[in-house]
Amino acid sequence: MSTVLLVGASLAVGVSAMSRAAEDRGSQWWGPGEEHLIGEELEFANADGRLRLINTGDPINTAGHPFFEPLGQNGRACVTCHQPSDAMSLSVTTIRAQWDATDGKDPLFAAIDGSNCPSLPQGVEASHSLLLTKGLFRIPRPWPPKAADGSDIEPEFELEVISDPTGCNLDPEYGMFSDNPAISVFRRPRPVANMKYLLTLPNGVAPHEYFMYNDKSLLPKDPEAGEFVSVQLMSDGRLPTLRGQATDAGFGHLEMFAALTEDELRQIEAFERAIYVAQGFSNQAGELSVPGTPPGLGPEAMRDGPPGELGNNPVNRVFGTFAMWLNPRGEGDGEPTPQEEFRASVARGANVFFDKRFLIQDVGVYNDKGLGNPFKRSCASGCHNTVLAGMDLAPGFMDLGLNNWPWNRREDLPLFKATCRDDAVPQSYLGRVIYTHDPGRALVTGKCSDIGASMTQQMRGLAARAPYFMGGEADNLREMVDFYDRRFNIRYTEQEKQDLVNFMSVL
Amino acid sequence: MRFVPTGPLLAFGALAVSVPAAAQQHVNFIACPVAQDTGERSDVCFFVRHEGVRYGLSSPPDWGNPQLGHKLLVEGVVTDGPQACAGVTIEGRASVLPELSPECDEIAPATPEILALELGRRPDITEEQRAMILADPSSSLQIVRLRALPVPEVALDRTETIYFPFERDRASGPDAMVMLELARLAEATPGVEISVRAFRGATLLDNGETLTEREDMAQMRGEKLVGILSGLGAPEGSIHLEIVDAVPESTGKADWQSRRVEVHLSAPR
Repeated sequence: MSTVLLVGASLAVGVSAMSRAAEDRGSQWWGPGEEHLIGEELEFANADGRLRLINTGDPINTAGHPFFEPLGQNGRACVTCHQPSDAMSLSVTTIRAQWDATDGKDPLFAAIDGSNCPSLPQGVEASHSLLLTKGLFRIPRPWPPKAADGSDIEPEFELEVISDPTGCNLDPEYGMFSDNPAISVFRRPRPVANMKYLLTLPNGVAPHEYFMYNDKSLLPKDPEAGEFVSVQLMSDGRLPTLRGQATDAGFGHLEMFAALTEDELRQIEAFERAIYVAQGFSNQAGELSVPGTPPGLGPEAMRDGPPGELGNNPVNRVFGTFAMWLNPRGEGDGEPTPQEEFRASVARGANVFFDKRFLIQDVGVYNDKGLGNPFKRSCASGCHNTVLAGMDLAPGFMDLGLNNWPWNRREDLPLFKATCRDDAVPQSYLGRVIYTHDPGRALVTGKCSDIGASMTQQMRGLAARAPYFMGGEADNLREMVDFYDRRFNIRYTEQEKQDLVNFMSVL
Repeated sequence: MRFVPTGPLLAFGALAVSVPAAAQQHVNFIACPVAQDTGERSDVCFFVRHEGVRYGLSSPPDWGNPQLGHKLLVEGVVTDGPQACAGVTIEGRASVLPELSPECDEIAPATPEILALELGRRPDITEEQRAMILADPSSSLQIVRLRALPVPEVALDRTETIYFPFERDRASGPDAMVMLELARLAEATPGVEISVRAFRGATLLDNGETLTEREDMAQMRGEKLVGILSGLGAPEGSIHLEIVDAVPESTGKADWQSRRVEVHLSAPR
């Protein structure tokens, strides 16, 4: 029998306990080096209910575990940016609370990437504005890009800094003209959970267990095992394995003194592979994974589900059926309860997500990979097609418009002008001169056609980890829906928008 | 790609064309593709208008569908086969040209005539399936896989040819399956020798202009394919790459076949 521990709140059950838990969310912070026990299950309150974390591995005492211990000079641990309460990502609500609780002294706000630029005065809010408002960490990427063996890749484009609100791209020590030339972009941390869905090669869609869908080049190989691996793990796909990511993050984000030992890598990887997260309880819909509820909800579904599978055939839905919530009462059975009304809204939102088709147009590295421009799909049959996880199985890098003009313009982020060589294959819908806030995948490949492209991400535990998208563009689920509505001229009704928001809040 | 004379469609006002194309006629031209909306629950299809004829476009699997924002090179032979996208069918290839052409931006609305053709429909859930899911909701998460691509047969001492869209080095999914099988065969053949010959292409358009691929196209195709075969396990040192970057003679007939890579596996005798 499993034991559920509700962290940061009374263990008493019921709505009142949940309300207290929601008010007490700030106390759910797990600091580096703290001792916590991770048994079979943990629950964490959030504004929409409770996130549940399942551990399929051995019980863990976080004290002494390399994922939870500070390993470098800035005092951070992996857990600093991958909080269990935040679906193993990090919400801006948590970031703000931690700033207030520590007056900005927490290692989370380390100068290296928890501030807009290390050269800025530390400890003042303005120097950490991107983290405090959008949950963005600075990611310095070498310029020109470097291959896995450390050699320079000759990029197909030149970059010019047009606007540098953080000052870091023109900074003499950290910028693109420094001794170690780097481009600073700003990105959200991705959830480190439900890993089998991100690491399993696609099944049943040969030959894409070997080939990238877009340009039919080969997928990368695990440098240690020599086997082909997926590239779903990171937004730019630069490191395809957990061990590689852990090492890179250790040096980059934790400022580690020394490389992780083999035993530390083994422990980190085992932990990351063992945990599953999803919303487990909705304040309005109730328990999400009990008999009679939709089969795709709750972390148990993630634990038990098949990874690497394509969904949204008429029968085989990406997140399973929600039909049992659609019309809970027959005619003449009286007014539905608020819970039934909310559940019906979730079910309608699921149907919009699964079935409502719209024209998907001018998405770089996506419409141009053979599918046609435009093509007509729903959310689920287009980009969010992996069973239970909701990212693109392909795997799919794409420029949705979040990183490049004209679809997104940000005053708070750096703006680069990318000018591609005449002999380069141009970005399919923006050509050879592109204004971008984050060149994305192109900072790995050096290719003009990749400018602005990033990897789709999983859709579980959303209620615990706003803001959304790689650059934190959407502060909440409604803004996410509004972005898609605007970008693809879908013309969702107000009811459809609310239904979609409610649907995503229970994932 | 397939396109047909539009005789039966002449009654449909909006789809009418003034000049029917003649079967077996070779056509080589560049035009803007038009996306045809086919209704709320169905995919778009594509056509081009050229000299008064509406040609419907369909390509080999994963070859690369037309794209608004780009012109299309259409090369083929008019057939009297079934229509595609309510237009004349052509056997051949259509290639998306890499440079931007913002003027190619037309989406044709789904008129009643188009809706009547029921283009681009996908099968919906059946009543039986709906009942099954209601009875057992977990069945909605059962995996229903797409029909697998056929595994191609490859053999020693036979040349496999992979064709490419104009100025592209992206092979299709079925071609990638051929590469997989070639690599497996190479791995299983002691002392195998692999010859890769990569070509750049040229095509003679109906207007008399010759369109030639960029100079390094053969090299890009050849090196990419060699990298793929090696990555899939072809023995180190077994591959000999020949780049044929001379501009081929173009005739306006099946010129798309000039854009190709030939792979030949042989065992030591």
